[in-house]
Amino acid sequence: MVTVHFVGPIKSHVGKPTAAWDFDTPMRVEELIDRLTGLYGQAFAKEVYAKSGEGFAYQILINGRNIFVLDGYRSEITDGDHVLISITMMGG
Amino acid sequence: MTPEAAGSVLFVDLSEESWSRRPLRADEVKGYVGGRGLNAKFLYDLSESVQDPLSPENPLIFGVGLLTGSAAPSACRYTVTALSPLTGGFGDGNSGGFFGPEMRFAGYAHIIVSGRARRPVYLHIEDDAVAIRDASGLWGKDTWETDGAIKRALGDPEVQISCIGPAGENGVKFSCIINNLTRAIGRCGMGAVMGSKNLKAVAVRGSGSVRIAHPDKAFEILKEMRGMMAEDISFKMFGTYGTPALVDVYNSRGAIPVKNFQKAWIEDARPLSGDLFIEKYSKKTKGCFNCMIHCSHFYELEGSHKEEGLEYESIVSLGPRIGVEDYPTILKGNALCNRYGLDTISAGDAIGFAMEVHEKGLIPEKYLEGENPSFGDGAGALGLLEKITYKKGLGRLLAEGAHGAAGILGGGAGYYAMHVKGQAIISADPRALRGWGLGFAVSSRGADHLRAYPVVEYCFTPEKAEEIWGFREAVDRSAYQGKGKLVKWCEDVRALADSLGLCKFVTRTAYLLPEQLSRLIEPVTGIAFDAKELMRVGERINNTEKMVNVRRGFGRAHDALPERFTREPIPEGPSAGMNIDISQMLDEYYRERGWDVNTGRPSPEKLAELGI
Repeated sequence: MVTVHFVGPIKSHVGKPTAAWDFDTPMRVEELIDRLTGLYGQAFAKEVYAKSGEGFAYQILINGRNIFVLDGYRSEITDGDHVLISITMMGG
Repeated sequence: MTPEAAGSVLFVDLSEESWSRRPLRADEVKGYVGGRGLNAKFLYDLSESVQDPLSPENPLIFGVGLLTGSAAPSACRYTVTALSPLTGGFGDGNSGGFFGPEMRFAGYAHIIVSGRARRPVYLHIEDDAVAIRDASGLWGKDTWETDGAIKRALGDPEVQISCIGPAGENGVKFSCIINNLTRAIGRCGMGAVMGSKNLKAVAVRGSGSVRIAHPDKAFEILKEMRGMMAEDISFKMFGTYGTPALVDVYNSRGAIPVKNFQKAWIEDARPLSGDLFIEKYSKKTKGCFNCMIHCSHFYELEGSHKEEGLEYESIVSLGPRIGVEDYPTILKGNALCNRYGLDTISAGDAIGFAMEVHEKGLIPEKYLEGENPSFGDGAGALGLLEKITYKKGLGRLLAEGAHGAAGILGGGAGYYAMHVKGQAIISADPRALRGWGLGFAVSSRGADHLRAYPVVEYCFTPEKAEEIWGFREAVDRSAYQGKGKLVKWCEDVRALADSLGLCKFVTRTAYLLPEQLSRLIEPVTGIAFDAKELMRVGERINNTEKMVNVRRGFGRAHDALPERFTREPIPEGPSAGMNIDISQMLDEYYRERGWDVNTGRPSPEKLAELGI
């Protein structure tokens, strides 16, 4: 079971902030995005990969670790992992 | 525009009831740009002999950014600077809305107020006409009443007003200055400095404008900027939800402070979510001058209570930090803070501190005066806001801020004061956000996120991090390496945005690079800065602010986070087990700045290199 948490406008594609899927694992982040794009359409992928200025609009974390300091979109997800796909807005 | 044409510097002596003005000098603009930067230079030059931040000698400096009032997107900001009664060192606050542009339209880049009026007064500026007017009838009024009363007295509904409420009059150490009813010069107690001068308000009206130096070139780059903003999802997010959306963002990372930073995660944050705020309370959005984001919201409570401008910081400071998880209490508290002129962050922090130390039995009855501060008691917290403002009962103690109150209480209370240099930490747990933690520790105005605002830690790739700072790990929130370089770079870049008068949301991840800012400044102002020169200006500003603090006795020991963050790992949630030790990051930061690693002070060589 892979649990994915969505924060930001991307949540509207899924319709809820958290969902769990019984995907075959291990799987790569890009495979997860492909699977979710299959469920929610190309707009989902477009948003996940969107840029924001000099960086990315969304940050993806596996169990709290930024995938960019793991193996990027090829980072491995295993059974029981929690994936966060969150808008990178911070501040206050 | 020549540097000299960027505006005048107005000197007002309230003790002598006199004023004078002079044009900006080219060396001032080229060395410090304007706004926050040049304010810092003026404070450094004028405050050497000042002992008490609440004495007449402490200069209170208003400054607009070099681009404020121009066609650049969200170029609306102004900064107010003085020695801080809260930290004892460098202090400033920065606000949007419409006051800054109006000051520029009246022809002024900076207003430096010194002395103390013999009776309450307000400063009325209308282009070249400057008047010090009686404000005896305004003293005691809240900020909304003051704004309305001055507009009626002057017969001008469009006059822009920056004023204090009763908290500033009464010397509350974290009182703020309010413009446009809900926009705050929030941090460092600038309201108390204004109150100590018997200055109730500055009212300004200008009939001028900002001439664009090279309209065709400016149009091209401004069109490019606006196109980028229109397409960017992050800007849409700010435009739709405003900063209340950050409740979910911080909570999802296990970085939202709960009960005075005892925890950093809320299992069910739906009662505080941005979604709920939008659905239930928000009525429409509002923008600052020349802004296309419109992040601010008008909201309505129970059909009668109407307000504007709720921010993430206020939600959390008046919410989970004091154990409250209901919007009605938070919305009422936000409105009270705006009316009284209290910094919502420090107010919530002081109350949360009181709740925890009372739990520990560390507040003697002589300070409590019958009060029973307890986590989750929203009604009690609202009552404390009034008592802080008027320094009544327990409010007299809390009006000093958590750090000041802890010093009075003694007996181990200091452990629970969540501050840096006396300034309350914002609503982000540094144990989970290490770059932010370093930023809080080294900030010249005490714990604050807007000095470094290192969002690039989350949205840059390791490749980009390596290109700029030489460390891929800089974008790993759990790593220490590279954070010193990242924070130094961010501080210098953010100082530029503040000095240009640009909103940090516009320069958050786009138009933050000096190369981009350089392309923007010259067509709009006609004043050329190359990228290297701009980074040097940012560095000069940070070093000047640092030197104000050095002169006030600050050193490495003051660049520290509260002990709780080192000793107590986050107990649960997505960041469970994390704590923070900044020593390695601090060494790297000092080396990157060219400061002495042992003392934290700039070297003579660095100061000479920067011309300070």
